[in-house]
Amino acid sequence: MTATDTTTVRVRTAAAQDPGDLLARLPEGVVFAWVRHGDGLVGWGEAHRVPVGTGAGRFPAAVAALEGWFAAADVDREIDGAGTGPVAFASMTFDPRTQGSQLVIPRVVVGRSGGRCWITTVGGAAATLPDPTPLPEPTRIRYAGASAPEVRWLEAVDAVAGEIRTEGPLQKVVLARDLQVWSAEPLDVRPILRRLSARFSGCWTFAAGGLVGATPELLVRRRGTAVESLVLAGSAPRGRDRAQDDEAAAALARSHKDRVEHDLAVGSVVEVLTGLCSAVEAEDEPHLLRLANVQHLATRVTGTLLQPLSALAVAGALHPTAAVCGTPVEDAMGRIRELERMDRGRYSGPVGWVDAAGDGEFGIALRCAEISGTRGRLFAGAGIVGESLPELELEETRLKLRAMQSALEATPAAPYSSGGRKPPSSV
Amino acid sequence: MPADVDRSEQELAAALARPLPGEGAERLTREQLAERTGLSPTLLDVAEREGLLVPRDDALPYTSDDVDAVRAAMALLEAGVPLSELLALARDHDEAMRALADRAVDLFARYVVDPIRGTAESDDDAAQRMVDALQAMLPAASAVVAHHIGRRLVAAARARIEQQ
Repeated sequence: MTATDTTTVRVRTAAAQDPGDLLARLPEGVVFAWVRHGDGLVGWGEAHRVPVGTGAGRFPAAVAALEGWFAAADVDREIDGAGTGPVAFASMTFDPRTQGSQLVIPRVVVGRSGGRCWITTVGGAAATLPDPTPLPEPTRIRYAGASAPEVRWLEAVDAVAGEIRTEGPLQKVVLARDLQVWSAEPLDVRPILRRLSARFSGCWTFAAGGLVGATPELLVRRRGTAVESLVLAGSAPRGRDRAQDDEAAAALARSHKDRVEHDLAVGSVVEVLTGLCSAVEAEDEPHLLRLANVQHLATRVTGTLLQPLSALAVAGALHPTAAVCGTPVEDAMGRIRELERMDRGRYSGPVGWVDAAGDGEFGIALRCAEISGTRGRLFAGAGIVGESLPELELEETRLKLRAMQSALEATPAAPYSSGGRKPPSSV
Repeated sequence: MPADVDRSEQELAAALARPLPGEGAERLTREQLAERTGLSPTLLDVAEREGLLVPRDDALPYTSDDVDAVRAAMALLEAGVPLSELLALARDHDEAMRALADRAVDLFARYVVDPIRGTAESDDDAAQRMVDALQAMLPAASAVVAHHIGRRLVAAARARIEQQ
């Protein structure tokens, strides 16, 4: 036996009985998740962590390091397909200049897709599923402040909207703010995940080393050479009944502002994919995507990769999109750095998983919280255009933060608005 | 002013345009209000759009009372209440108060103005009595409402403490 052999990591994927609710199986400790309508992947423990740097080349560098680790692993699998074999969970910071990105191969990953279930263990971890855990008593969440005063945020929105109206080339800037919370007990990511998944079953519920949330937006899904992206921009509230719901949807379809915002977001995805793919196609007209508290304009964009790029590399090429940064991206990023007065961390960055074949799924970490011990940081943002009124954008972010807070606390979802003035967008 | 408005209503309108007893006598421009309170142009616009400041429709839309109210709101912000939550509360308050103010004005018209109209000896007499009633009632109504919300706040705070 050579020295290399002794350090080779063994990865084993076995077929498994249907474990029921994947999220209920997560043990205490570091957990990972990417689940929608009950399907997806959950993982726990940390078999290996790939260091992720900063700067423009951070995605290609991370992909190269990860592929090196995958190539060295000794993989044995009973079943194959996307998400089997070794899998890495990635959660990248929004701003390429900031540290804090994570790329981790969990010790155990459990997956379910198309009626098949499997369990993958890394480095000889036990291939046994923990028993489902009951939901614990809800934790009371208390307010602990914010990175910047809301008055400053309001003024930043006003300044950006003014700049967009009067000077080129800015068209849209997404401005975010945070809210910090504390709790007497350490905050557990697992019940938060389960509540988010129950409340937003149409979203991808995700967890990655303390980052937990639910996103309706698919940045990229890769299967072989096929890539797909689901762009959401432009939103309306859900009505109280069918007629109101349809009326809101019709108003959304007619809204010039929402359509402009939507077309900018689709345009930015099409432009990037055109550089990587042949046969890039976007649906001609957006369709309506209805979630528990909001309906969005959605457009599916597909393409065929020209080169075997990993899902993580495609996510890196697409990030940041107009939906989380603005248009043009470089100018918008500059304003965000100047005006937000906080580090977004992994909020609004790519989050998802990638396997050894390069297949994977990534979303954008929206509607999320960063949990650390007894502390949490919640985020919300709003897309600012020339017509934006700062008080309505502030209200929109307040409602989004409320929704996240209620998922943390297990209180019933707040009605979407006290005044019913503006629907929450996807950011 | 429409031509069909009678004499006493003109007098009432004129009385409403003057500072009322108990109202800050000093009239201010928008800029003066901003200067005295340190309110940024953005926040001043927001407060007006949200109906938190109710300017008169002329070159001197504000009074020294508005300065006091803005300073009080800023004290709440400095105490740590997030602006978004304060605005949401103020919106609900404004909505409730608009409805109540409409009802109060309706009561004034129905039970004060109409009887004066029916019993006054002359137009002059009617106009004078209406203006007197208005000048007595406005500060009285404001005092009643301010007192009531003050009591309600204390009662709610007590109830919260006892609950815990």
